[in-house]
Amino acid sequence: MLEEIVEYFQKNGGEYLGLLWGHISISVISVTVALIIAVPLGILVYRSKVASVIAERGFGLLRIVPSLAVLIILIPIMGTGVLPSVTALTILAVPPILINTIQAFRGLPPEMLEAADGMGMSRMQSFFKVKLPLAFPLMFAGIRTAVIEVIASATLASYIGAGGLGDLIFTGLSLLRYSLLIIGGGSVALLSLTAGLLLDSVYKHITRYQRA
Amino acid sequence: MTAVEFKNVRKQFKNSAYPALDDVSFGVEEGEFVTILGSSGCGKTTMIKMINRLYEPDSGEIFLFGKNIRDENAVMLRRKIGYVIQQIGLFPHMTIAANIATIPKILKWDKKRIDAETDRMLRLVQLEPEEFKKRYPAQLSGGQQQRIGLARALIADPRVLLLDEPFGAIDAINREILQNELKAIHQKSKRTYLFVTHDIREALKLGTKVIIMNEGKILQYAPPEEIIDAPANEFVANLLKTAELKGSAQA
Repeated sequence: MLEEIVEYFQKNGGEYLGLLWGHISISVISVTVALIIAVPLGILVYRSKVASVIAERGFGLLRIVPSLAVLIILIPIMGTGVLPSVTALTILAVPPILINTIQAFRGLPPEMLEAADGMGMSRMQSFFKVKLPLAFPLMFAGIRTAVIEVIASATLASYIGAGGLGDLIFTGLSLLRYSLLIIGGGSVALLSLTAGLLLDSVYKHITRYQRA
Repeated sequence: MTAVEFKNVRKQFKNSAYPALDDVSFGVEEGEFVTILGSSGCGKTTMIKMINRLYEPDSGEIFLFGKNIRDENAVMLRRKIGYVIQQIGLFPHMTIAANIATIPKILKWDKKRIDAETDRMLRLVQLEPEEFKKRYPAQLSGGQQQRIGLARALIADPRVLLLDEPFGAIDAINREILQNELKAIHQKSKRTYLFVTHDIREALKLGTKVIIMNEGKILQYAPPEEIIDAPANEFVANLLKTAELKGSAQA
């Protein structure tokens, strides 16, 4: 088994890197699109309890549908490939970012906002200098959750021809080559773990001011 | 010159039995240190938050150096008024230097001037610039944090400084020290201070004049000696008695 794994890397190193890169880029694109949707939406709705609940529930409902089902539903609309995969993964990534953005802005300490207003900050100044930086750690925690979920679920994207490490798993399954399953599965696990650790250290850096 | 003037100001909050401010009129001369004393809910905080337009009156007018504050943009008005609150409200993600430089940055001072003034402010509040500038608020004690709060409010040399129970959450020893320092800073600057407190000893010790409030009305507005010698009514007299019971006949 170990020999087969070593052999795979010797013969197909280039292909492997291509799949790894495909996996990472699908994940990055999906999370980026989710950020572009979830952050402005969260900031737009957080002041209103009703609007927040509607936005959270709406995306929460979409998230209940299994990603594989979303992928298959999207095939007749978008065909196969990267576009439906990114769409399905974005749907998965929006809720944690959206919910955390709403909670982060709702939980801003009132005395900070009063200090900002009282000193004569304009709305823009208080948003960019005070609100956004103070909300960011909690938003970032949501982004971390989204990244991990997307990396794991991007495996399914291979199923509809978007590439990525899932290719190895699906090929391994159809040919019953366990070495490919181990390489594919192990790589996805390792990628999630690395991304998680990387984001944790970024989180520690951006919240260093909280530690006395 | 009259620094702050209230003319028939009224403010009633919803779900409140009596107005927070009930037809209040008074004036504060430039250079005075006015302490505003009352129990919680008496309207004292409402009063100073109207001066920097965090609250707007239901009726009546407020003048700052003769100009109706309603004629000016609220944000521009606030940049000219210093503001210190009990919860301090330092920005935790900014260093001490960045916190103190908040208003100068808004006013777009050049960097050299900001640096020099930040150092000067830190010394004014008895903190060594080199030791504190690069720290974050979480690394400071409550008393040190409020010194920064003061430095932040004073750096643009506002003609009026509003202080809302600034020492209310600080331990007794540090409170005493901070009171003395604030008094000294005021005497040097000759700016106008309005200081809200519910501590009668603090009010009598710091104020060149004291406003005593209850249920949205001013009961007495006089220098501290006059309040002690001639309390305007029974409420004020009782208030003085409670302070003496705690063993502070001096003030």
